[in-house]
Amino acid sequence: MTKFVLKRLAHTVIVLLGVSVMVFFLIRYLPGDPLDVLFTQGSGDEVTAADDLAEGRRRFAEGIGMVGSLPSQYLNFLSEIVQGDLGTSIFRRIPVSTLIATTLPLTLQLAIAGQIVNILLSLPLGIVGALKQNSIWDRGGTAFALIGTAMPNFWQGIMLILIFAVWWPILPVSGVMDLGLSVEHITGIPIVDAFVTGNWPAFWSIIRHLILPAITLGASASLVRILRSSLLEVKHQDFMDAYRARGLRERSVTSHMMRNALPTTVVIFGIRLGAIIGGSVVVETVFAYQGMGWLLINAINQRDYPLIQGIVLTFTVFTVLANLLSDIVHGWLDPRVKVEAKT
Amino acid sequence: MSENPPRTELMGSSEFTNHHLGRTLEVRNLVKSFKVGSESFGKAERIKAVDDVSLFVPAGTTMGLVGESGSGKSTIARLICRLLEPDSGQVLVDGDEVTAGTKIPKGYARKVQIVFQDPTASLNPRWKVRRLVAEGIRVHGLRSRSETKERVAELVSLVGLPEHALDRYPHEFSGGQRQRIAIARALAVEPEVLVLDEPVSALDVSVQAQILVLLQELQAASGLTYLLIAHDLAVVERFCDEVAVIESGRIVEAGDPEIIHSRPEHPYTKALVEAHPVPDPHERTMYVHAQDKAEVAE
Repeated sequence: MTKFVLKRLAHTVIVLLGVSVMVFFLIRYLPGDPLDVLFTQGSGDEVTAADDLAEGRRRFAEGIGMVGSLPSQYLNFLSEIVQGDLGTSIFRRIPVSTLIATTLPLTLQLAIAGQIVNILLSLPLGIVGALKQNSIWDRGGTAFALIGTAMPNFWQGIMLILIFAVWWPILPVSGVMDLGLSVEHITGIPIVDAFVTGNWPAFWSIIRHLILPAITLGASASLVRILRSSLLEVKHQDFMDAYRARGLRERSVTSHMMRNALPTTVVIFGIRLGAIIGGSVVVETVFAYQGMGWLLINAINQRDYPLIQGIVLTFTVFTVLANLLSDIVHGWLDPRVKVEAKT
Repeated sequence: MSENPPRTELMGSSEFTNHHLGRTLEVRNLVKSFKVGSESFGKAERIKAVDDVSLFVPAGTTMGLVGESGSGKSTIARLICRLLEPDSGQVLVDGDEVTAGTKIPKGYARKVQIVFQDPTASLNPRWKVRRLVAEGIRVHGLRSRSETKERVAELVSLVGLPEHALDRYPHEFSGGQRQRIAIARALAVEPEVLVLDEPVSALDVSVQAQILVLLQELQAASGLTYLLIAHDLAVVERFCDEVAVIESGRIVEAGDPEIIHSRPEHPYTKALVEAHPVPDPHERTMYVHAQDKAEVAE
């Protein structure tokens, strides 16, 4: 098992290396140079001589390591990462790691809330669909999941805002919590901090602000079809009939069915978890939820190279770790996998 | 019976011997139909999978049920084990009646056990052999905890598996060994009738014989009653005391396996016999699908 985890962690390093190459070079080939924005005639308060501008630009570029050939810049970037330095945001003048540390908890909070909605919807729909296959409940649940998957997140989010924040204003339009409220920084995750410090006004405000984006993320009920089909796969295996033939009551047979369908569902859930954190980019932008996804969109618009690199790499780490975790859980739930990992 | 190979008495000294003699299995006028197609498209119709089937298997003997796939033989197996509910007809085990529509008598699942075709699918992959075999004993409260442990070890050695098999998962075994586990599991509840639904069809030819010999030895030792379902007349001929041939849910011919094989009367049986590959190339005739052959003969 340890060997398996170590091997996978080594793979993670390779994946990160590949992603870093892609993100580093691709964003630099995009049209638009952030330094053009910073050092253009008339961009500052005073009118500066063209020579001074060029000199300032050169010194600035040197300061953030944007000199020399791209490959040599990339190698510098790599050696800094190895030392734990993700660089400094060009426009915010704040270390990228600090920006990620403040926005990541919000993204996690939103992703987890979205997945709670997803699971609360998917479990009953998937289980009823499999147990009462082809019934009206099954068809209804599958149709619901299909519509949820087919509707783009941004459109769904805007519709929810329109209905529940504009026409029938019971929930806030955007943001993390009401203006004027704040929570003490303990874990960085606002909802946890508000709960721990007993800051109830902030706690309720955070929850109210979470509802619409969480529904947008989770209402696709993406697990319904996976859960339903893995339950159906087990349902039609001979060993279910073997249990019945042995005299087991239907209730126990059903519980065996659930337990055997669990590994597949958990693995797919885990694989998607990484993608979901990345998928929050759109939802965060629609709801002006100031998490890592929202920050990424801003960074891309400004061509803030170090910030883009840092966020994309963080997303990659989460995706790869979610995959690793789901593989470990799979091996733990399904004995057939464990042996394969050993050999 | 007289033509069967001599049954070894390997298990003669075992505790297993004769402590539960097999009972008669009787099926009377069993009918089961399935709905085919979807109602919303207006094409729904019912197809009779089992059409007025009657069988009588004396205690301690083996009845073979032969037919092509789709002929309804597996449906009969499932009806007998009450995995499906018959439309009408009766199943009697040792006089205990399981009539359509009535509640299944308590303990029926103990009397009749089934061994499925594919042991890969019929054994829960997440359970170790020990738990797989013990489950039935636990469900029916047959033995105390320590007795169960002993009994499970006994059953596993009875079907010819080593003791260390107990703590392994099904996927760690070969197909033949898995079928041995399935047989041990079926025997765990001390049944009187064993329904064998193509127990060797999913196995290698070399392993098929071993499993059939094991089943014969078990029958000789315990007097179990078998209903053996197969699509291969050759398997049935060697193994059964009587054979019934089923076509489209109906029994078309029944009797001594030797006679049925050498002098089949019904055209469908003839086609089945001829469809079987002949080992000697000089005696081989051209292969024709059994169904076509039957149509031609009619």
